[in-house]
Amino acid sequence: MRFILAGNPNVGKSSLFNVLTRETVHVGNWGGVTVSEHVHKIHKTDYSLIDLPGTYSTCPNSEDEGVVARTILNADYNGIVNILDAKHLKRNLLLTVQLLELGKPILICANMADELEKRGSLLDVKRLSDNLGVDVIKTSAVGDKSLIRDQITNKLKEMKTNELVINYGIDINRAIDEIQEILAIEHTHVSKRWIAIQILEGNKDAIDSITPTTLPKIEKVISETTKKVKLIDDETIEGLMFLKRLEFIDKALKGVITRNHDHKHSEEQMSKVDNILTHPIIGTFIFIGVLLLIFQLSFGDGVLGLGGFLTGLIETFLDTYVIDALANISQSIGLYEDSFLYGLVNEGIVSGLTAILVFVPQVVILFMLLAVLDGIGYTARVAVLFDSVLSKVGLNGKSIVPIISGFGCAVPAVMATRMMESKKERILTILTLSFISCGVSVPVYALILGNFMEGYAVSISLLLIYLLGIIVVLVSAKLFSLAMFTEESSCFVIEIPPIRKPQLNYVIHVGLNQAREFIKRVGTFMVIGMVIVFVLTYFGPSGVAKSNNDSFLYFIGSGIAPIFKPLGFGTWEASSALIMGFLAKENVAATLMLLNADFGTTINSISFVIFMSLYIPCLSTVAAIKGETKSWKYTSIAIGYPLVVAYITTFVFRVILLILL
Amino acid sequence: MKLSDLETNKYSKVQDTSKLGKELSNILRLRGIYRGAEIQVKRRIYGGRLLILETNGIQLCIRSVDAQRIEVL
Repeated sequence: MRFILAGNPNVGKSSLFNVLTRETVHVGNWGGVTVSEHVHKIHKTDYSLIDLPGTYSTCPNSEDEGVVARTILNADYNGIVNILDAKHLKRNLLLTVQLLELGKPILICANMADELEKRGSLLDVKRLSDNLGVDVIKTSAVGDKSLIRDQITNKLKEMKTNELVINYGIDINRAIDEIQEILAIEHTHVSKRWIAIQILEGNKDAIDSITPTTLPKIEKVISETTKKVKLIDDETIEGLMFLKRLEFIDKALKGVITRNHDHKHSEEQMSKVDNILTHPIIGTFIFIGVLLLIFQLSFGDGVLGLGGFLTGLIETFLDTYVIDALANISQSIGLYEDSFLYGLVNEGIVSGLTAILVFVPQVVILFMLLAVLDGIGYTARVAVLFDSVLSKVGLNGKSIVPIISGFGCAVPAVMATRMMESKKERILTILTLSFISCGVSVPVYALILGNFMEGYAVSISLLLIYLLGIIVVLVSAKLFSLAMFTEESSCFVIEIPPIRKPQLNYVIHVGLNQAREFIKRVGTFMVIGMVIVFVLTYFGPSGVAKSNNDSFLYFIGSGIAPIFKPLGFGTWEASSALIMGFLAKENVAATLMLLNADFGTTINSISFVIFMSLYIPCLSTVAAIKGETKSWKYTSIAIGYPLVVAYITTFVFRVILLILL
Repeated sequence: MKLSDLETNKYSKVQDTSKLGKELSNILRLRGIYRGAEIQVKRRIYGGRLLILETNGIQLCIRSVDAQRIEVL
């Protein structure tokens, strides 16, 4: 049996999904964390659960809400688990009403009821259940997890159906009946009444699900009803339907919440914290400080340099025990040092893997810290903080969410743009995201910069690279906004979630999950990349290469190296590393190490780092961009534009550095 | 009166959102800004360019240019 998990954004859906399935889906304290569906089995059952993006309505206003609409319309499922935020039932029940109209079995979980009680109010779930005609239970993702799992699983076995029929008034009721009749010959997954209601509300996915030939008749009904509703009620169809649903919700909530006392103190405290976090100057300094702290903890050395310390430990362990042991094993099974297989295993795969494995702690710490930012609700405040700046260049405060996500990995960052309502701002954000260095690129910079600087200097340099990336994002967005979507309107609406304590278990889970993903990624792209690099260096036009300068990679790298000569790294090693970086950014470090690349001077090294930080999105990001934009035009721009920008920016910086130093 | 002119911390009721256009009106309605909803401006940020509003116990941030198109009582 399959069940859908649906609810408003930021009601704790993903947390409950994780409790039920024992998975670690990304959880945040702001709307828009889940932007695609996830399907997993409920722990110790045969039931499948589909976690959907948060939505306020089944009638979508953004790409992630469209995922919900399409799943409800087209997927096979046996029932719906509707998660509500117990603190905001009135608004949450608007979606519940639409789900009840579907006539499918439904279980309602009033989540975060504990937070409601802390605020001095009590929730009567029995009365709410009676008023809605379906089961309602209290849940909390921070309570006893097995108890919640058992409670929900038991209820799934006996889910109730109560097809809600709301009186929308004579005109809309008649329109629903007429559209139902028109749809009589249509084959639909869900009830025709529900589709009729959704079409009247303007649900584009519902309209797309029917045969185009029936559309003119339906449009005629909508047009006549629109005129009548405007004349009699001075409202739009969807506006009147909304108000009628609110009337139903007000009745359903009568006597459901009892207020014992107000909880003003914590609200006042939160307001003071918000004033500071969203203050244009203080808030910006706090944001830079937070980023600096994250980089120091993740990639720095010395005080607070946790990532650097752990990387040192792993490096020592690998050098002392693993590398020599593997070389000995290779020799003991008959592989000779100058044989192809020995080289492939030890110089290709093992060297490449160990070069990257030392970065695992840094990436894990970075992802854990980003999870903390999400969990406490800081990300939404940063969106507010930066809307003024971002709106001036054609972006939106919400663009900061994918940008921060891009500090980890560009692929989820590209997908995170789905929660943006405006197409213009969404495309501009996608096209400029590649200028934000991802978590696996940063260790490469740290590695190169670490050759001539140490301690805080590395962290500050990394921060400057990020700042450069952000400046390029702003300038590029402005240029793009002047060139395309000039007629598109813009809007910024964001919910400010309460500040919450991050869930430690979850933060650890995220870290471990990312380590697993990172190693998995290394196991595919890295190994493939290293095998390619080794094969291309082992063989040359004349067979087995006598030296690197006789290899295929030398000829390929040398072919494009002159292009990079004005930038100071026109060597075949650096060029080859950049080519391999297109496959995956971590390949750059491994290739540089495998080829013993040397940049010669500090300025050359800095030039290489600047170029690498801007030059091209990796292959998986390109695939994500194509998937999200569904356009070769935008995908080509996302590849070609950064190359030009990286070249010009690096050249300018190099000239400045040569003059100054 | 326009929502953007509402004094900070004073309560009012939303009267009309039609000037926002269909799309934005729908988005705000589902987040709690609809005809008859009680609303309060909690704070103004960036010299009033952004407003933090509270409606039905939820805090929302919108731009002042959009608040100018919302009529309140």
